[in-house]
This record gives sequence, C-alpha cells and structure tokens, in this order.
Amino acid sequence: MAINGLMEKTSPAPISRRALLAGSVHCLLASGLMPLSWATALPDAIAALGAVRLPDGGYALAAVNHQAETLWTTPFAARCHGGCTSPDGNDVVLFERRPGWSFQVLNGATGEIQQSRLPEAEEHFYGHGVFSPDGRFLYATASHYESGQGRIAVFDAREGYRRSATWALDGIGPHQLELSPDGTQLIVALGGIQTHPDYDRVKLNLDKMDPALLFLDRLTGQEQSRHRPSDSQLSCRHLAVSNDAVTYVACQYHGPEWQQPPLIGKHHNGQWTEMTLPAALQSRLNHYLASIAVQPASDIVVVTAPRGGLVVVLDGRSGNVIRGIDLYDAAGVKPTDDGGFLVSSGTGDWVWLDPGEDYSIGSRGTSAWAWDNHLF
Amino acid sequence: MRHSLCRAVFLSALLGTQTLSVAIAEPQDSPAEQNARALWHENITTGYQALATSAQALSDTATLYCNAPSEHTRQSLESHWREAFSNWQAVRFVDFGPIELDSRAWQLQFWPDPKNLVGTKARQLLSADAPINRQRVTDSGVAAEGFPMLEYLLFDAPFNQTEQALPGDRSCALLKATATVVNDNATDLSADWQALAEHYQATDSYTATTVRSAMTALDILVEKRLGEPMGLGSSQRRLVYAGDAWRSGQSLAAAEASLSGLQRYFLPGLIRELEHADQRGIANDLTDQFQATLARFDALPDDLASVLEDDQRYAQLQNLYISVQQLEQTLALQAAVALGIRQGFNSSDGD
Repeated sequence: MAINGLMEKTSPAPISRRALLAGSVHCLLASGLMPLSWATALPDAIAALGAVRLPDGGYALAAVNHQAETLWTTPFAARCHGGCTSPDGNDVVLFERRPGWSFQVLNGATGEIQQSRLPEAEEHFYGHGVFSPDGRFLYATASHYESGQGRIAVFDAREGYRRSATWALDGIGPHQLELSPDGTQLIVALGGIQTHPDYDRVKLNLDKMDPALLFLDRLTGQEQSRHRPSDSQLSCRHLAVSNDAVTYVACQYHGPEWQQPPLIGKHHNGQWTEMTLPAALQSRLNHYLASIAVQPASDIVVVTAPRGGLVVVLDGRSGNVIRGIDLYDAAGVKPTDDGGFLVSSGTGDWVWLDPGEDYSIGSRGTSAWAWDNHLF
Repeated sequence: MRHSLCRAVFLSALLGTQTLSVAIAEPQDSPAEQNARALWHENITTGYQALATSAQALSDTATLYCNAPSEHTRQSLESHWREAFSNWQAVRFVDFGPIELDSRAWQLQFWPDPKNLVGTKARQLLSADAPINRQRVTDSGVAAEGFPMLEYLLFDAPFNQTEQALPGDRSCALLKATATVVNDNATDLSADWQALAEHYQATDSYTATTVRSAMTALDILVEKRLGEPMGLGSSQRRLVYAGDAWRSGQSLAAAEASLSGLQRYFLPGLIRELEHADQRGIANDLTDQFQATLARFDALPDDLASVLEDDQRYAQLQNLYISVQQLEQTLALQAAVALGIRQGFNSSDGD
C-alpha cells in the first residue's frame, strides 16, 4: 500500500556499489556461522550494541561491526534493554529490562563484565542511562517502587561506579534520558506510569498518569522545566537530541484504541509541539513507538513501531515524512556516522537506511537473534 | 470496504438474488478479512455480554446472600461466582481493545500472584477500621478488585475457619463492594467493545492482533496455567498454587472454559480467514484439535490438586497438556504462518 508514494515494500535491496565488497560476507553467510550477516557490505564506521534473545532462549549483549562481524557476545541471565557507552569507549553499561535489578559495566573492547551494580533497597532501574560529558558520572533512571517516586541514580565511574547521589523527581516512571548538547542538562522522558514488581507488569495508574519531558540541571538534578504532552495517557518513553538542541520524543499511548493522538513530541527553545503523521501511517503505529533516533546535524528522525511492523523516517525540522518502511517487529535504531541509520528487529532482520538514496534501504542483514528495542 | 458492502446490498436489492449479492461482495479489497473481523466482533460481543450478565447476577446474589445468609443462598452465590468466572475465562484471550483501558484484565483477574497479594489485601481490608465500600476496594488496587478476591472470600479454606469469614459484616461489605466493581467493569467492557465495532472492522491490523491474542492465550495456558503447576516450568515440582483458581478448585475448569471460549469466539473467524486464504486443511485440523483437546477434559476433574497428587490422573493431565501444546503449534506454526502473522519479540512484550 503506497502512502503518499513513499511506502517501501520489503523487496530485495537493489544491488549497489557496496555489493562489490560483499563477497566475503556472502561466504560467511553461507557458512551459517554469522550471528548477523548482510546482503551487501555496509559503510565503514558503523557499529552497534544491542541486547538480544538467543535462539536457545538465553539473553546476551552483542557488539557488531560494519563487516557483519560480531566483536563479542556476553551472555546474561536476564533480558536486558538499553545501555550506553562511556565517552572514551572503554566502558559499556547495560541495563536489565524493567524492573531492572542490576546494571553491568563491560569492557568495550572485549565484552568482559567488570562490574555489576544493584539498585538501592525498594528500587529498580528502568533500563536506560547516560554518561556525563567527561565520563565521570553515570546517570540512570530508577523507581522507588514502594512510593512510586521516579529517581535519577548517579554513579561515580571513577570510583568503581559507587552510588554518589540520588535525585528525586516530581513524577513517576522516568525512562530514557540524554544529555543536552552543551552538557549542562539531563533531558528525561517521564512515562508517568506506575508499576510495582509485586504486580508483574501491571500499569497501576492509567487513569492518573502525568507524563512529561523534564529538563534537569545535570550537576544538581534540579528540575528546570517540564513539558506535558497533549494527552495525559501519552507516555513519554524515549528521546533523541540533535546538535541544535531539539529533543524528539517517542511516546506510547494508553488511552482508547480508537483514538490516534500523535506519538512524536518535539521540544525546541522551550516549546513543546507534537508531530502529526499522515493518517495511514499514524494508524499503523498501533499506539506504540519503541525507539527514536536523530541524525544530530541534519535532524532526520527515525522511529520504530514494532506493533505496526513499521519504520518511519521524517524530517524533524519540517515534520515532513520522508518514507515509511515495512519491518516486522522493528526495534532498535541508531544513527550512523555517514548520515544513515541502522535498524534492528525482533525477528533478526536488519536494515541500513542509505542517506544517499533518501533513506531507502541500502542493505539488509539477517540474524538468528531477536534484538531488543534499542541499539546504542 | 464499507462501500463494497453497500454496493453488494444495493445490487442484491436491484437484482433480487441473495446468491449474487454474496458473489459480488467477494472480490473487493479483502471482504473475507472484514467478514472475519465482523464475525470475531460479533462472537466476542456474545462472550462479553455473557460475562456482563453473569457478573450482574453475581453481584445481585452477593447482596441476597448477605441479606439472608443460608446454605441455599451460599450455594447460589458460589455457583454464580463459578459461572461469571467461567464466562471471564472464555473471553480472557482478548488482550486488545477496551480490556486494555485502566488495566481491566488485571482488575478482573490479578494473576499470577506469587506473593499472595490477594490474601494480604483481604486481611488488610478486613482487619482495618475504615468502612469497606467500592471506593476503598478500588483504592486498594488490582489485587482487591476482581474474581480472585471474591474467590478468597468464598473458598479460601483457612480464611473460612476464622471469625471474619462470610457472612461477617466486613466480609460481606468486601464481597458486595468487589462484586460491584467486577460488575461495573464487565458492563463497561461489554459496552465499550460494542462501541469499538466500526473501528475494529475498519482496521486491517486487528486481524493479526486478534490471531496473536489467541496465540498468546494458548501460550499462557501451556506455559503458565498448566506447565507451572505441573512442575514443567521454573520450579520443576508439582505445585497447585502456581496455577490459577486453586482456592475454588477450578484450575482445570477454568482452562477448559478458556479453550471453549477460543473455540466459540475465536475459531469461527479464524476459519473464515483461513478459507479465504485457501487453507481449509489447516482450518479442519484446528477444528478437530479443538474438539479432541476439549474432550480430554472429560476424564479430568475441575481442580488440579487431586490430579497432581495422583500419578495415573497426572498422566491424563500430561495428555491434555500435549494436546493443548499441539493446538498452540498448529495455530502459531501453521495457521498464523499461512496468514503471514508472526508473534514478535518486542511487538508482543516491549518496553
């Protein structure tokens, strides 16, 4: 089904100049040994980390590079979610999926686990964290689940990730957080949904949600501004920030299914707006966005909608949709240094979106692993 | 698609032949899909209405019993709980639409409950001084609001030995308030589902959503509701408390009600969808498997406890387990695949 002539079906990627480089990859693909293989070689400088479920049902963090080589795979007992890499690349931090009972610090080059850190009593992590610009502090979203209070847990990386501070948020359910481009603020997607480990994954307060996008002073945790979405059941979960300090927010809607509120928020210069998609695309999101990424210089934005099997590329500045791409169980997305995007999925299918071809699929990859919602 | 139906009706009236109107309706966008969703919507409406009607009767009977406690009214109350609970089991597979509003599924049945929050909430509510009313129950959260709380009051053996047991004033207040919440939720659910009709039938993605809901329900039945208490899950030992409805001895009756609900409310729409995809063979296999699996319940009692303690009966339970597992595989690996529907990793349980 064409949407404004932009929808792209999952037909094989056209042979590109990169196919010339693909011989060795095909050999490896044929051998069946590669956890992630590409039909055509990818440009240099593409690498990604992602939490996976292995074919045997176990879980792991996998680091892959542009040559479709898995640099390392580190198994974990629990399903993991998001993570971050220290500015020098030495440390990789991986969070368990909500309710997260630990995060791990791994050696970025080898995948070896160096540290494991637990939350405080009556607290769990949400699955995301970010480093300070100098790499000294790690900020992680957390919940004091007995009270429901959202928190930012601060860890001192130079002191073995010692818990150095706890900042109480005025709100419930902080999820992904990122630094502002100048490093002075933490930008937090506050989901607004209360959960409790004793209650499985039940959403306990859907009738009283108060989600928001928060800007905090990075040094003190003090809230500097708060921006609420148009609907109180629009849960702000994930975000990405461009060089121009524009924050793009991916939401999940928990109201009636027959309503279709916009799921992408945009904050710039103190103003919150919401980006409306064409109706045919909007309805296919199924009220749920998993990941959002932005090319920091061009403000091209990509969101993934696993429940709709859809990836949407849009121009963040104008709000115009560039294309929709069918990708079953679309999951993680990461901007690549050449201006494109790498997108993973829960079925193991990957695509690389080519900036030189208007973000159409430049190459396809396959993997036997189920990739979780985020690449980092 | 609505246009095509209108045209079919118009032509039917014009030509005066019913057969022709059907033939004309077929080749449009995807009328079979629409018909499948129409059938699903109609069948689920029937299921939700049955739940609402029996929840009203349960609430009424709770009041009758508390006004005039007797062996007769108690039996009637327990019987109405079983009927309403069974009707809930029959539509429990529907995990989309208005059931998602305010976590209604969890409100109706908080489960699994490994920490026995239902028992804890009941003791807290009954032992406090504050009056027990509808507001107090809803303020207490999902563990207090549904069938398991009523089940605790009616069937929990240790509780029924205490002075707080029914028909004590506070127990009756909790019983009536909880039954009111269940009734309100069931009534709202039924009304909201009917209001969803147009959107459901007009939205293509609901076909996959509906099929996935049945796949998920069968997976939960195999892995959690049967597998865990049978000792096939993480615990590796037989444990009746790992199942649902163990207090009332209805674990297997509830499983049967869920399968029967899938057969009545889900299977007909799926068959229509499969026939449209020229997959009559798979439709027939599923029909046969549903019948054969449901027949296995004939050899088993309503409860799990007596089966888990008896190796001979446990063998019969294993046969049932395998049968449900095969049904799940036919649905997921044959029917869903034939329709191009897959269960996602993030799409079914993301964050």
